[in-house]
Amino acid sequence: MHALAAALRSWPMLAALGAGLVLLALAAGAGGAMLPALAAAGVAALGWGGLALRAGRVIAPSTTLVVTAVALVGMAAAVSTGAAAMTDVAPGPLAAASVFIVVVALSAGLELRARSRLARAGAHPRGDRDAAASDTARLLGLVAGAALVAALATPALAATEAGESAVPHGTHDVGTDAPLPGAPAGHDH
Amino acid sequence: MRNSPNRIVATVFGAVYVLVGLLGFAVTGGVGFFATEGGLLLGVFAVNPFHNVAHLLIGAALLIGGIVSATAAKAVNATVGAAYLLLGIVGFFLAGTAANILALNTADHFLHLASAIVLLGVALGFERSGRVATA
Repeated sequence: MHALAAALRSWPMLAALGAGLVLLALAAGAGGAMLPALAAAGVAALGWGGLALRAGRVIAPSTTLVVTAVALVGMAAAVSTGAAAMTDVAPGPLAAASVFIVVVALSAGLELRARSRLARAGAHPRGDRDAAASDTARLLGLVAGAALVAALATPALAATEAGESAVPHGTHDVGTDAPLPGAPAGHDH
Repeated sequence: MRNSPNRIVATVFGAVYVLVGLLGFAVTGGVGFFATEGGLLLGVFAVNPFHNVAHLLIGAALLIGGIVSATAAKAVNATVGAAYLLLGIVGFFLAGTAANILALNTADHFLHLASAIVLLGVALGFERSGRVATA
């Protein structure tokens, strides 16, 4: 159980990094007030993820819980009122970002509950959990979490306006610097 | 080395990236150096010679960092991980204008994003100040 807990410990931080990337990609293609809102949320998510990874724990859980709840409500409102569609924010990537944010919110809630239990029991809020955590389990958890985040974030990023306007791929003929003499311009498939 | 997650990750990722860089040249014969659509490595990852060189350089940096010391490995992991993430973010805002000179496809993006998160995560989350392994 300790090994599993150690393996999962970095997942909220990784989810925050995934949320930050998707939110920033959405901001890049958004218009109006959605651009600064999404950009600010993306930067905040990346910052929280980096700081929490460095601290090795969920930081500022109360604030995190409030901010993530506000973000989720705001995103739901943007989709339901049509504001997201009007500002070119795709619902798919927004849903993916919501999944990441829910993971962060859950971790903040669990951290608050754990602190509350420890306080009631009169124990020190942070025992030797860090020392007990196995580096191997944490490392394996980190690799697995990174793969999961990448698996969700990659298609979400591709579905944003920034992803769609990138140079298209998928047709992988061997290209050359210059077209062959007599060949039509453009890609040959 | 076995005591240092940063050295393990840097060495393993470095070796894989160097191998991928070398193997990439086997599938990019006739591909322009900056061709936006390259050959397919392992039938999945799109690469061109520029991408192969980038893989070789990144792999070499990681491998050297991993071999030298935990501090060096941690620094290289953080630098490469942060650079990958920053390049991705900058790429979002330049997507409509920048040429795809690395011949990237979805599989590449998945690999790069996962690599960035692991490298940054291990650099930030393991062997914090005062706990860097020396073995």
